[in-house]
Amino acid sequence: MFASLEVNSLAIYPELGLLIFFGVFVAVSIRALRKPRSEISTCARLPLDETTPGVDDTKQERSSDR
Amino acid sequence: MSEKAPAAVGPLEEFVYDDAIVRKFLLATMVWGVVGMLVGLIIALQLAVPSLSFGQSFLSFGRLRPLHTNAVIFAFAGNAIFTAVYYSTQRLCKTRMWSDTLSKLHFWGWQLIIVSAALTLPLGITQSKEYAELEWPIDLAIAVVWLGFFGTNFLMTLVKRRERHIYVAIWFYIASLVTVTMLHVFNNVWVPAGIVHLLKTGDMPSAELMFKSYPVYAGVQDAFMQWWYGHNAVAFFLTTPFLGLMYYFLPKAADRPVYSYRLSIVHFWSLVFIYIWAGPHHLHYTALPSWASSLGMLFSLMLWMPSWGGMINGLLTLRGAWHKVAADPVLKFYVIGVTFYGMSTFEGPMLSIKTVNSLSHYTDWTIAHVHSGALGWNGFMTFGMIYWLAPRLFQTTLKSQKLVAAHFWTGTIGMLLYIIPIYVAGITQGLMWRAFDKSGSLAFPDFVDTVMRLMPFYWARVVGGALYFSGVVIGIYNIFMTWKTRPAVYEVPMQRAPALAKRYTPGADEHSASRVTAVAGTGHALDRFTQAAWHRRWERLPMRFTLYTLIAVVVASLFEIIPLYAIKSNVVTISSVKPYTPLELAGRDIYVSEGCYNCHSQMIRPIFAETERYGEYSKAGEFVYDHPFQWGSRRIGPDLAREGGKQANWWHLLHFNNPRDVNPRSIMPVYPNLLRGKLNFEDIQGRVHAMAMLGVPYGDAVNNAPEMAREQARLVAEETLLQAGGYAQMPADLWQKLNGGVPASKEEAIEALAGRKVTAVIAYLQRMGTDITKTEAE
Ligand code: HEC
Repeated sequence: MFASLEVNSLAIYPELGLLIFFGVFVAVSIRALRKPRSEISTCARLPLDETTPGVDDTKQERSSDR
Repeated sequence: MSEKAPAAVGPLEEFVYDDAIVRKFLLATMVWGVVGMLVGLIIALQLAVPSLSFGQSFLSFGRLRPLHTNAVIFAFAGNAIFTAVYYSTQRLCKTRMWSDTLSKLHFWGWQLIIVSAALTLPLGITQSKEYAELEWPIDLAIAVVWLGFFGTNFLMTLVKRRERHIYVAIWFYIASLVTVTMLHVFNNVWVPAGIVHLLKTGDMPSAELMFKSYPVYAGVQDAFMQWWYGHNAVAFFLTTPFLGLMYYFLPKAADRPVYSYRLSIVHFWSLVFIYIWAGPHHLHYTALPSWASSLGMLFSLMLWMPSWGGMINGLLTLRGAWHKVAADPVLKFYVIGVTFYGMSTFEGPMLSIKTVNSLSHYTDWTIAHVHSGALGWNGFMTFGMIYWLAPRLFQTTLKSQKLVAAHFWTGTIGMLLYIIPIYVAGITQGLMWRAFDKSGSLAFPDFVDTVMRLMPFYWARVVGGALYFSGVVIGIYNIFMTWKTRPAVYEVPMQRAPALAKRYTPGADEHSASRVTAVAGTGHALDRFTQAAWHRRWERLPMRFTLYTLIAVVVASLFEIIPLYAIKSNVVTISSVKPYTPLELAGRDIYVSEGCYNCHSQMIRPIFAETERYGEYSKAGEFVYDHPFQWGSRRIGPDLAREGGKQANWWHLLHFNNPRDVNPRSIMPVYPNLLRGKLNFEDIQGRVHAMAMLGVPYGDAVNNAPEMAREQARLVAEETLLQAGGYAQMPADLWQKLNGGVPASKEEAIEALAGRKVTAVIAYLQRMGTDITKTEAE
C-alpha cells in the first residue's frame, strides 16, 4: 500500500494535517467555553482544596534567618 | 467541592500520603542535577581548552557530551518530574500511591538506569541517537521501569482515586507517560549484534559486541525516526510534565487558582495534538523531501500559540499577587521559569522557519536555544518546586531564605551570561560559514578560523555556566541544612475523604437538563457534546482518557511515519552506493562509539556556501546502508560527508594522535586510544551478520568478514607507511603507541598498524562520500 504512494500525492499532507488540527481545535475550544462555570471553578480549585479540613500538612513556611 | 453532589459519594475513608518516596525523588533530583551540570561545565571548558580530556578516552568530548545531556534530561529533569508527580497526584486524587512496592521499584530502578548510563556512555557504549544513546539492555530496563513500574502505579492510582475530577496537571502527566512510552519503543527498534553472533555461530561474543546494536532503520528513515523522537522528547519529557508541575505548584505557591481553567483545556489538547507534527523541522535542507519539512515548519509555527496560551495562563495566575512575587523567592523562580518557557517556545517556531534555520542549524544558536529551555524553564521550575516542597516534606523551616535569593540571582545572571554569548557565537559562526569575499570564494575557507572567533564566547559560557552551577550548589547546601533540622520521626497526618461512588450520577449543577430538553435533534447532540458530558466521562475513566490522548499522538505520528515508509520507495537508489566493507563497518562503529557525531555532521545541505566548502550536496540514496545515520546536529568541526580522499592516511594518523600536530589551532580531542587499541577482527563477523539481517547485501563477507577486514587493513597500513616515507621515518612516540616500540622490520610495522583501531577508522573516513563520484567516473 505504501509503495503505491507517490511523492506528489503526499504533498497534500500539510493541508490535511492543518484541517484535522483545525477540527480538533474548534471542538476543544467550543467544549471548553461551554463547560458549566461551577465545574470549571471546582476543577480550578482542586490543588487548593485538597487537604482534609482540620489536617494541616502544609506547614507555614518561615526561615530561621528572618 | 464537598458540598456538591453529596449523593454521589461513598463512605468516608481514612488514608495517609506516601511522602517518603517524594523525599527520595527530591534528593535524587538535587544530586543528579549537580552531576549533570558539572559534566556540562567540564565539556564547556574542553571546547576552550581541548587538552582537558587528558588523553583519556572516557573523558573526551564525544563521550562526555551524551553523558551531560542524558544526565540533565533523564536524571535531573526526570527525578524532578517524578517528585512532582508523586507529590501532586496523591493529593489531587486524595489517595496514596497504588503500590508502595512499585513506587520503590520505580525509584531504585530509575537510579540504577542512571548509574548504568554514567558507566556505559564514557566507555563508548552508545547507539549515537541523540538523547537515546543508551544501548539496548538499558533500553529494555527503561521500558520496564517507566511503563511497568511507574506507569502501572500511576494509572492504578488514578483508578483508585477519591476525587472525581482529574485536574489538568494530571492530564499532562498522562500525556507524558503515554507519549514517552511510544517514542522510546519506536525509536529503539534494533538488532543486538552480539545476540545475532551467538545465534549464528554459537561463539560467545566479546563484551563490546554484546552491548552493540544496530537500528533497523537506516539513513533518511533513521534520521526521521530519531528526530520524531528527539523533538518529542523535548515536548513530552521536558515540556508537558513541567506544565503539569506548573499547573499544580504555581497555584499552590501563589495560593490562588489558575487564571483560566478553560484556557488550560485548550492549551492541553492543542499542545498535545500539534507537538508531534513538528519533528521534521530538525531536518530542513537535508535529504528529506521538502514537503515533509514544510509540514514540520507549519506545525512548529502553530505550536507557538498553545505554548503562549500556557505561558500567559501561568503568568496571569499571579495577577493581583505581584507583591507576593517580590517577597517570595519560590514565586520568583516560577516567574523566570515561565518567562523562559515563553521565550524558548517563541524561538523554537522561529528556528523552524527554513531561512532562519539555514543560518542557525549546526551552530551554537541551537545550543543557546536549548539552554534557555533547560536552565530557564526546566531548571527554575524545578528549583521553585524544591524550595516550596522542602519545608513541607522535611517538616521544618527552610534553613535560609537569603540563600534562596542568592541561588535565584546567581542562577539568573549565570543563565544570561551563558545564553547571550552563545547566541552571538552561533550567529557569528553561521555568518562566517556563508561569507564570500569579493572574488566570490569563501571568506573563511579554513574551518578553524570560524572556530577561533568563538573562543571569547566559549569562555563567557564557562563563566556563566559556573555561576549557574554555583547557584545549584548553594541550593544543595540550603536543602541539606534544612534536611538536618527534620524531626526525629516524620508526622504522617491522617487524611479523610469519601470514597468515590461506584456509579457516577452527575450533580444537577453540572448537567442542566432544562438546556438539553430545550433543543432538539442535532442541536441536542451538539449541546450534549459541547457541554462536555463526553469529556467528563473521560475524566472519570482515566483509561479512556489515556486512550484518547494516545489516539491524538498516534494520528499525528502516522502522518509522519507513513511518509517515512513512502520515502523508502522514493529514495533514488544510486547504483554505485555499496555497503561498507567489513573493515569500514568496524571503523564506522568506532566513529559511533567515540561520539564523533557530537562535533561532526555528515550532511551537506544544498546551499551554495556549503557545496563550495564541502563538495556535492548529500543525496538520500547515499545513506541506505547507514545503520545508524550519522548526520549530527552541530558542527564544532567541519562536515565529514565527503571526507574520503581529502587527506592522506598518514595525515589522519597524525591527526588522531594529536590534532594540534597538524592543525595547531584545532580543538578536537586527542585519540591515542585509537592508536593503542587493538581491533577485534573476530567481532566483525557478528557486526556483518547483524547488518546482513537488516537487509544489507553483504555477499561473501557474511562468511569471511574477519579475513576480508585483515586483508584491507594491511593495504591501508602499507599505504599509510608509504605516505610517511617508510616506518623508520615515523616518530618513535607513534610507534610506542602503535607497537610498544619501534618495529624491527617493515613486516612487523605493517602488522602492528593493520591491527589497530585507527586503521579501521581511516578506512572508513577514506570511503566517506566517495561512492557517488564513482558513478560519475563510470
Ligand atoms: C570537540 C569536537 C570534536 C570531536 C569530538 C571530534 N572532532 Fe574531528 N575535528 C574537530 C575540529 C574543530 C576540527 C577542525 C580542526 C582540525 O582539523 O583538527 C576537526 C577535524 C577533523 C577532521 C579533519 C577534516 C579535514 O579534512 O579537514 C577529521 C577527519 C576529523 N575531525 C575526524 C574526527 C573523528 C573520526 C572523530 C571521532 C573519533 C572526531 N573528529 C571527533 C572537532 C572534533
